[in-house]
Amino acid sequence: MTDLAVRTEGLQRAFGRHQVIRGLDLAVPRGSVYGFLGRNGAGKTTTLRMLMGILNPDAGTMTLGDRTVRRTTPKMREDVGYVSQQQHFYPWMKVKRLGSFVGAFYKRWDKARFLELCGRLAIDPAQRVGELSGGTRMKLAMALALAHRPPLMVLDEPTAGVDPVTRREILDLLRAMVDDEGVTVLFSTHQIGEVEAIGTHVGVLHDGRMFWQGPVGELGDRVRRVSQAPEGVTALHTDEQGTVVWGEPEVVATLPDAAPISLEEAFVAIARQDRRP
Amino acid sequence: MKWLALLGKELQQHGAAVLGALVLLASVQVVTWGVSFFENKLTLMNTVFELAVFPLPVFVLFLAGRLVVHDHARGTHEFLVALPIAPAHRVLARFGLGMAVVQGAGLISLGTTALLATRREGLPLSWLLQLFAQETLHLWGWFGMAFGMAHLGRFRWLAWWTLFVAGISYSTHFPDGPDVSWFGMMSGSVDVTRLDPPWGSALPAFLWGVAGLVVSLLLSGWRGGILLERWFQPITAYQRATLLGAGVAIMFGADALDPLAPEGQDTWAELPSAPAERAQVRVAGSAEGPLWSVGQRVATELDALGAEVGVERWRPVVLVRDRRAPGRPTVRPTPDDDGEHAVVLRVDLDTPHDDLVRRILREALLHHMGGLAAWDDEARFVLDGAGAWWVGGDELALQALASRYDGEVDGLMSDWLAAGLGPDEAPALAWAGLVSLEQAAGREAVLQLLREVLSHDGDTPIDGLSLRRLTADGWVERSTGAPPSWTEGWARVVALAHGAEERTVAVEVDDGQVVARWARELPAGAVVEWATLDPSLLRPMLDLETEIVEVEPGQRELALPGDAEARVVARILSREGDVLHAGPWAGPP
Repeated sequence: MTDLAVRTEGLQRAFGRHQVIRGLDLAVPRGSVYGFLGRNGAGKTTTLRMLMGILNPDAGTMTLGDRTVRRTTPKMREDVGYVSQQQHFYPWMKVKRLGSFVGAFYKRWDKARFLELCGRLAIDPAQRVGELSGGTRMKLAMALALAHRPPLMVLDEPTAGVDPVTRREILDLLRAMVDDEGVTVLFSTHQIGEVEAIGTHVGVLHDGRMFWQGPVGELGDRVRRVSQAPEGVTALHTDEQGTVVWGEPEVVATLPDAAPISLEEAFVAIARQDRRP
Repeated sequence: MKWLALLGKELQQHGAAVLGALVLLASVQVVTWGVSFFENKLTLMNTVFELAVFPLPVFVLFLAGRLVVHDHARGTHEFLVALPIAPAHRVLARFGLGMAVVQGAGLISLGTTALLATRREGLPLSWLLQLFAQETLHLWGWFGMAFGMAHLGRFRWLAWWTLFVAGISYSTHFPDGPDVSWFGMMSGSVDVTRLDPPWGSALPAFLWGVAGLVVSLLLSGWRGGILLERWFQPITAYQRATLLGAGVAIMFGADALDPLAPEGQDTWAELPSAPAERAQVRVAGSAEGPLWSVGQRVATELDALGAEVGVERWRPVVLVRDRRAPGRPTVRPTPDDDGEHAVVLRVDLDTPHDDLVRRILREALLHHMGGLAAWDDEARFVLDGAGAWWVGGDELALQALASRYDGEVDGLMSDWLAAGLGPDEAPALAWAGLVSLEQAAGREAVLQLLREVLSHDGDTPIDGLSLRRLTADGWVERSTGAPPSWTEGWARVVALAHGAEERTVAVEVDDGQVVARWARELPAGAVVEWATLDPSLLRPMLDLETEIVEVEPGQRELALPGDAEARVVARILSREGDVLHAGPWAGPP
């Protein structure tokens, strides 16, 4: 068993002539909470959909658990809890019926756990899905994704468009799953705060490739703002306040007049850069 | 468990819409039953074809399209594909459910129609099984095709059009080639396909269905269903309206083009034919059914009669089973028969066998004369009696005649015509006349008379062959060798027939009230039949809508609820067992 829960190598995907993913190497350590950062349209959703087998990659391989494949099979999905960006459930189904429907496809489906999660997230099992608010539907998606006790959770912007209370509930639930059950979480977001709040690892997607991935704390150590970029580091972005540079932590730490910047500033600088390091 | 969950989801997702469509289909089926029954078509089973040829395929297109695109249209597709279900499972569940619904609808249509038709038509089980196989394959081909096409998304219109054009090109270039369409199993009429099942179309229909399923599986599985997602295009209200308009235009357009279509073989030519040399008697039914034995007998009799009177080839006769109704002749030609190729006779099989054969022969002879006999009452009169004379004793006719003439039927011969007598009495009188002629001048005399009538080519007025005039001029005597005494007897019968008016009903208007009166007490069971006559008609026609009124013993008149300003006609029907003998129609002066 490797120490990686998810790994992709040379993953590529184009839509028509538009190359979205250009050889992505993703490595999600087992037991980590991996924040997958990128601008809108950077390819985060496309990557997660390829991991789930909803889309097929044009090239590259994917490893989920111990299996390396070119395309995720339905069988492999049984070990993944997936929450998509938008929750389109059958509006005519009641929550409990939706649980039964989804549960029919998972061998490890735990009906009691699903109902317990519904209770914990304040979802009425007797209510029709069509009557639920957007935030409650997202919580329902979380409950559905967790009820079969998957070792890996893949979440596509799980807190997008929800109110702060619901957002907190979702993040608390994720944190609890990680702490109590050792679940590996891979979630895409462009909310840096979320990555700082619950993430242990982060990967930054830029121009269809992985710009950098590693422990969350290390990202801050690799970036500084300087008045002028010296030799040995990469200038990411220059504005009237100076130049944001990127380099190895030990090099960056020794730069004269270097000022630390927030993760959000670092992400913006990476996203705005014109070339890769 | 996975299958059950998927099927349950599909059923719940589409149940209400499909149920609504099925109710609509059921109402169409009921209407077609009503129309078929009202028009008294050859078999009620034609309604199964009527449903399977147009309404069911429309339902199939609706259902297949809905099954395929509904999840895409509602955004639930991604939720479904993220579950651990293989694309093939999703496709097969939808295909299986849709096919089950479509086949179920077809089976219910077939089963209920068969239940309704069995009592009236006596459907053989073998034919029902054959129809079931035909419809199953027909719907398999249709649903498979529609399901596959629905997966083509926006290209489905192009694909349907291409198929349409390819089909027309194929049938134009290979008019005698095998039918390779997916609907070939039910493309002909029920009369043709039941007698000559298009089994050659079974394999194409099956393969088209399989092809549709394979296309669905390929497109759903190809690169995670990317083509399906990319090509997805829901049908808009405008497109629905356009399609509906195009469908109606095609229906009317096809009707308008009908006269331009090359003439093919008549449908009746596919019916089973009784073996005969001079006759062509076909039966619209199974060769195992009771109508078949009647047809065989008629063919035999026509063969023999043709040999005697010199007819090399009788015009075709088609026998169709009829249902009984009060006052309805037990053998009657179809009102819409164009008479061009064959006479279609509706036959009430509850009538005694010999009687049917006599009456069928009569109609066959009349038909052989074409329009001439229909317009000349006296030629019709001779031919009316010919069937009975040829086959032998006609007890029912004798009873009818006896009730009219108090048993004075010996030596009867009259020019009293069918219009003046009832449909039972006129042939009986004619038959009696031919019998008396045979007694007076021999069998050859009657045959000679028939030869003269049947060989008439229409160059001279048919009145020239009038039995009455020929008798008066001594033609029958010369032609048949009948003695003068026969002529005298003939004259007596004519006088007697004319003198029998007090035995008929009279229709009068008293103080604005239409009243039917008759001179003597009617026998038990007799009824009065009356109707309001269309002003354009000179006399009651075959399919006149009438009303039957029971008559009390001793009753001599009956107030009729007809309009005094309109032409109300009435007649008396006397009853012999289950049979009603119709008297002549009478109306106000």
